[in-house]
Amino acid sequence: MSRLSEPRSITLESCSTLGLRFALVLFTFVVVLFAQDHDENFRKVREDMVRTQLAGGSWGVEALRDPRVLGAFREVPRHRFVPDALVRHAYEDRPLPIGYGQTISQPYIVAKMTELIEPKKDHRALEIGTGSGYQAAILSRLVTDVYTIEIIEPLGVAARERLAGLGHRNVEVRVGDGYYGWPEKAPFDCIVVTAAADHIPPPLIEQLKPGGRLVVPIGNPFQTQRLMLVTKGNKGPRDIRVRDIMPVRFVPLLSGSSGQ
Amino acid sequence: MRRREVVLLLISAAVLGDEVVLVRAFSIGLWHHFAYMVISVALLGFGASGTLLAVLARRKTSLDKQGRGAGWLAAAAVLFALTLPLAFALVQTIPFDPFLIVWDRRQLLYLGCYYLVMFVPFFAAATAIGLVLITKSEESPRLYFYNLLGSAAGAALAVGLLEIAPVEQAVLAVAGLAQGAALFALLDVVTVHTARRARLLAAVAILAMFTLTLHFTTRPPVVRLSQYKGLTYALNLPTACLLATRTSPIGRIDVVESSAIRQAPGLSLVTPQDAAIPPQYGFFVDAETAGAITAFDGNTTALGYLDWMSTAAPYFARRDSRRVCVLGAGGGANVLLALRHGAQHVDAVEVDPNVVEILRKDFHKFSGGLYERADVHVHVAEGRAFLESADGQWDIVDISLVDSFAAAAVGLGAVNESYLYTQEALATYLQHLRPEGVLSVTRWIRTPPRDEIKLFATAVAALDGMGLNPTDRLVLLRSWATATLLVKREPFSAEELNGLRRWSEERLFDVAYFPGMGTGEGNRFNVLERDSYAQATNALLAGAARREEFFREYPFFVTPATDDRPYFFHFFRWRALPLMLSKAGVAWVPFVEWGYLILVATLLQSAVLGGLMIVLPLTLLRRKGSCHPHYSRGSRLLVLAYFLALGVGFMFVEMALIQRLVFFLANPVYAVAVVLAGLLLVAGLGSGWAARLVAHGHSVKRLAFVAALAVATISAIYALGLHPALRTLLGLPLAARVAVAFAVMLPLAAMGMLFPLGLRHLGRIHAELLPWAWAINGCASVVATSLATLVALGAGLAVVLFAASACYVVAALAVRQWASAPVP
Repeated sequence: MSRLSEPRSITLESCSTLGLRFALVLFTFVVVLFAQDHDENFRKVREDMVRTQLAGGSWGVEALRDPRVLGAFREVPRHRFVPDALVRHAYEDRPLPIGYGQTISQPYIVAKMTELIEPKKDHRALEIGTGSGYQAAILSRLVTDVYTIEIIEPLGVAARERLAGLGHRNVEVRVGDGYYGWPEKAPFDCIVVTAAADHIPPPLIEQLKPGGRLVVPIGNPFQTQRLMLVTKGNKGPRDIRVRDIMPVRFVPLLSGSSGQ
Repeated sequence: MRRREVVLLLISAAVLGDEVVLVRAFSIGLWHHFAYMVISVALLGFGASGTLLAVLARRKTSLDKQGRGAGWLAAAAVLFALTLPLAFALVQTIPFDPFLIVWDRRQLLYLGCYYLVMFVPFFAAATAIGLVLITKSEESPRLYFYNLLGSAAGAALAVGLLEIAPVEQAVLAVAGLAQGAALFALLDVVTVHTARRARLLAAVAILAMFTLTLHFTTRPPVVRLSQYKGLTYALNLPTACLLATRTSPIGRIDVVESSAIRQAPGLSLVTPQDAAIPPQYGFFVDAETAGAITAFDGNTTALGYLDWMSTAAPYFARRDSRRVCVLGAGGGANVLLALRHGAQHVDAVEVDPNVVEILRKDFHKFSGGLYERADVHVHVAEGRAFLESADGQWDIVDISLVDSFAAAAVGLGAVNESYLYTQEALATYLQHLRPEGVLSVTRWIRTPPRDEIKLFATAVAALDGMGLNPTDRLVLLRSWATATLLVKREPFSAEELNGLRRWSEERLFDVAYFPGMGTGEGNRFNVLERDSYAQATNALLAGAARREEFFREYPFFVTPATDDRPYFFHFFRWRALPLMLSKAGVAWVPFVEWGYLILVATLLQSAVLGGLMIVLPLTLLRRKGSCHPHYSRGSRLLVLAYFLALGVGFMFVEMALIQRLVFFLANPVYAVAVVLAGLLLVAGLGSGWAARLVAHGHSVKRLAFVAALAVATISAIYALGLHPALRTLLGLPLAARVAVAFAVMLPLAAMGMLFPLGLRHLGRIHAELLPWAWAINGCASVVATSLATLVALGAGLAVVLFAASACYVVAALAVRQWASAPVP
């Protein structure tokens, strides 16, 4: 601790002249003011995102209702989870590339997945595929503990630092293969699998609590076609239902078809 | 053969070779539909060269001087030789990613850069070819012969090169051809010009080519893989290791080892722990996931996981499964499944010989010598063709997930022909079943359902066509990710149905259709908001009228594919588009059949740009004012009609024949090589023959008229009878089929006569319009390529051939009008 504070005091004392000291103080003030203004701007954009993309039910999608989920989206600074070059697009209604062939999903898709797993305050959540850490950050506002596993090391390490830096103390990031879940922390009330291969790993179903919910997006990184919601009932390990949910309302199109 | 003819021959060979190699390179790095779009636009260089030639023609006297002509030809040839490899290397540095195109406007800029970079070499080559043909229009039939001969050789050579070398090296070899052409062109200049300046420039050009060659041979360009391709993703996994890579004209195959690779499409959510997936190596075709090679030690009890996928259903319907045929065997998962269920004779049919090689040689030990077992009979063949010409009968014919999930999910295959899933194909499979045998076809599920519904409809049509009642001969099961359709020639027995019912329930698979299915029996475990399966299967089994009504109303195109319209993957309907856009805004993006939209985009771009390139030279020529007043609007129209008809007609015949002969030759490599090279060769021969006939004093007009009518007649005959005739000959050995294919193409030699005869005639009456004719033909060929595919998708291959026939009738009519043209 002392070693960290030492250089700062040396710097200040070395500013021998009053003028220089004044300039430094002024500079710091401007930076802080600018940062506040910057964050204030983002807060407004974020509010817009929640209002129009999530709660508004635009382009035929179902509006999201859960006030806790909407609250989490108001709080978490999405722009801190996207690459620097894309910060200005952070709150747009689109997925963004984060490198290694991975993306941070559209806000609506993240929100819809979050709502589907019905997170409660006392819940324990598992996420497979941390990516940027945005989904974990959202979950950390809604449940007690979040355990998240990322297979690609640079992404996992960056997400861990980012989440810690933003004060998400109830998130634990592990770099590794998420196929076998996190048995030491199992069972989980809710599981989000953002990196699905051609099947849902059966060990994850086993680590789901009775009454628990698991969600998997299907499609390529830029085109979430459907969300699979797996729910586990209380009647034993085979009491499982999968619901196939289209994140967008394709139903109007189908209702024009026969047999309706 | 004179120097200029050698230049023409080599440049033509390099252009065709470059096209073939580029399609391969772009298919690996991006996706082949983008490859197709980029190359289509780049080929408009042929149209654009017409504009340049028109500019040069304004200074006609300068071109006529042999020295100037030779100079321009050398400049174009050198530019081509330099930019061919440079463009290839340069596009690998452009960060274009088709996935992002909807979201990121910058991607359009990158795409534009792709076009621009790829355009330059084709433009240069087209200018060189056009210069030779136009400045010597009197000799055009003979010159065109060399042009086509070179193209044919280039196509064949490129396929041969890709057999032995990766694309990166193949492109350098093709560049070698272009450099050869440039050297001959420079030699021509040096012989004609004695000035020191000419020699100096030639020396500089040779030095530049030499330096470039040296650079690329020491540091060959590497194809940039999109970060969203399966292979890139797999290589990012921890402890990932690329174990093997093999290339061929069919595709590049990569095998990757990583502890995180596990392939089990649609594995049941309740798969027990003792049915864990054994170690696997990831298997990639053109850098896209294509299954896995599974560790096998001869003990099939360790393969329990295979029973927990919907693909295993046929083995629980038919207990006696001694003789099994697996179409699209790939990494061998379904061969293992057959062995696990006691098959004593498995026919594994795989189209790519490299896949078989890789399992036999590189992974012999890992795969337990799977493809060398006495009970596994490997056939390198296309699945449909194998069964068409096979004698035996099987207990189970299995076609599972032949295309990758990534490709299927975004509808990339939408415009590809496939004779595997047509109504006639399903009938063939059923005829090769033992009386109690089962045909099993598994596809990825998409929401809203498409593939499975179309497959079901196709099976209904096939059974109907065989006079069998489909109601009690079909079963459709689905997991959350895959759907398996079982079809029998005999009705399913109650015992079989009960077995299947229990089996699917145990795995939480849903019954989408079962004979005598009760209400509430489907949509239980994998619950859809709306049970489209029940609605669709009910409608499809409720008689022809109801079925037709369903086809009309369903938002996707699910009418069964036939051999005439072999586009199983084509689901797009224009009718659904406005509804999609109005109801879903940008949310329609995931549901688009990308392959189809890219095709439309290609057509629109090439039509607009091509149109521009047709108008531009004409405007330039007209600005010449009073020097060339003697061509009228009528003669311009005549030139336009004639060369447009030829450009479109030629490509329509070519595209239709390729798709017909792909079926007949049953091997994508032979088909493309034989048809592309063969058609160009016979057309070249036609051109050469025309040159001789003209030299012997035959009338050009008469010759052109007869040739046009001959092609029109042949196309019409092929539209009606080619496919049925070829189908009866499918049993012939490959060499004989190649000979038949050549026999089919030979009468089309007449196609090669028309273009040079037209040029020769035009050269005599309106030589200044020659660049324009060149531009028209170039643009029409490019536009016609995508147009042919669209017509085939919408109306069938027969209609494409009829349209080609109509084009040649137009050409014949135009020739009739030649008589009235003023002769200088």
